[in-house]
Amino acid sequence: MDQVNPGLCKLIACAAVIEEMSPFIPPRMSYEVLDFGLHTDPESLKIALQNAIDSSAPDIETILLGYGLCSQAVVGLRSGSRTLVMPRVDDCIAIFLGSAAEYHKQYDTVPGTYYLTKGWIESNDTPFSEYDTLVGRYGEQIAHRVINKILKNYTRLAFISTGDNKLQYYREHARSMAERFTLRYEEIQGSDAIIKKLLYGPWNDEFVIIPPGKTISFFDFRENGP
Amino acid sequence: MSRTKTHSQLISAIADLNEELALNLIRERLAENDDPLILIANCEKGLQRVGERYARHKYYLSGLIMGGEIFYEVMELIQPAMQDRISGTSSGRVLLGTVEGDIHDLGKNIFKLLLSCYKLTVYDLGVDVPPEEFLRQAKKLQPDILALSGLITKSYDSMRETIRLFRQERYRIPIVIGGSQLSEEVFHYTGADYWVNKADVGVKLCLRLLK
Repeated sequence: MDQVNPGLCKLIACAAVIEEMSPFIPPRMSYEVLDFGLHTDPESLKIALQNAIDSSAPDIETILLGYGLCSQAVVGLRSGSRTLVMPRVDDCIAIFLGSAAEYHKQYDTVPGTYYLTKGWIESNDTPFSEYDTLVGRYGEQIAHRVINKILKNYTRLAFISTGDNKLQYYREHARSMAERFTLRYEEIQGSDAIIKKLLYGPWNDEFVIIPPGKTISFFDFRENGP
Repeated sequence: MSRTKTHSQLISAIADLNEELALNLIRERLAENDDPLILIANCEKGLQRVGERYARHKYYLSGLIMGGEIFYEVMELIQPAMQDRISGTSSGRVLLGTVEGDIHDLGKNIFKLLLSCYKLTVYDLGVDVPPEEFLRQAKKLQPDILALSGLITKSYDSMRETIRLFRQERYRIPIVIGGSQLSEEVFHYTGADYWVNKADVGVKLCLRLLK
């Protein structure tokens, strides 16, 4: 399926990725943004996604999902009368990095990496943003201990630099967090390749395409099958 | 103070992430010779509440991790009392590790501690363990069960790869995969013999397999 008619497509995306997507969303394409906080509860995310799919306007033929497997929250989603298209990736880190291949390369290099982007920092839902809340509630010593427990076995903090040119504040924030929790700081160049392909096609084997009347399975995300 | 009251206090202390109170209550109850299994059950109830509060966004990730850590510390206190109740010596050996590409180990460590409560010998290879290392250690240590742990989605590929290597080498051993996000589909994908998404269920499974 190579030709995308934006007027017949609807994009449903997580608040963490919409910022990277919005500069490329075609003017006639409708879109809906779901709360970033849903990622902590895959069942709630699944329900919110299914509602967003089912409540799409009648003329929508294709739904583009700005999500990966995301703790398997997308597994079990029903396409209904429409076609679902989404990147064949484990989570949004791969979307920011531009491909599943780059994602695997990064994980193979340093498995203990905590990733940050501008969107995540703004979402205020990272261990680093929790640090300030915890300091207010329990004091610095306990806050430090708790966050260090979360980051146990992590060795690197990678800031994914995306297309936005106003990144200095976020870069500095990421760097200072790395210093505070003794993680090696690194900046990785992001890529909008997967985002553009999702919005404009062609949808090659980097994408999961679910025809009408079908349900998303875990195996749709693994080429080598069961 | 009545035992019932202390038990509900213990559940609340864990749910409220009050580490000091929870550990003091455990010490107190152990000194009174309370059944450690009941104490563990109460801690699990508290932990369940932590999970519910996390799902309702009352707690953030730190709450979830902290709850797990308190549970781990509780288990460390309870371990000797548990071991005293179980007669005999070690009745089985489990080779355990978080698979390659994953560094999460909270669930694995709780599982390990629970196994040792039942006097099982656990060979813990740590985190980010390559398939070849699991096989090398299995040949050397001759365990009764291989237990592969993983949290992130990428770990499912490593589990599959590790299991494929064992099958290819015709190394026969029951293989259990564990992780809070596992599902029936993932289980089939990996080719494991058994799957669990809770540490205590994993322990019961191991005990059954060793009978």
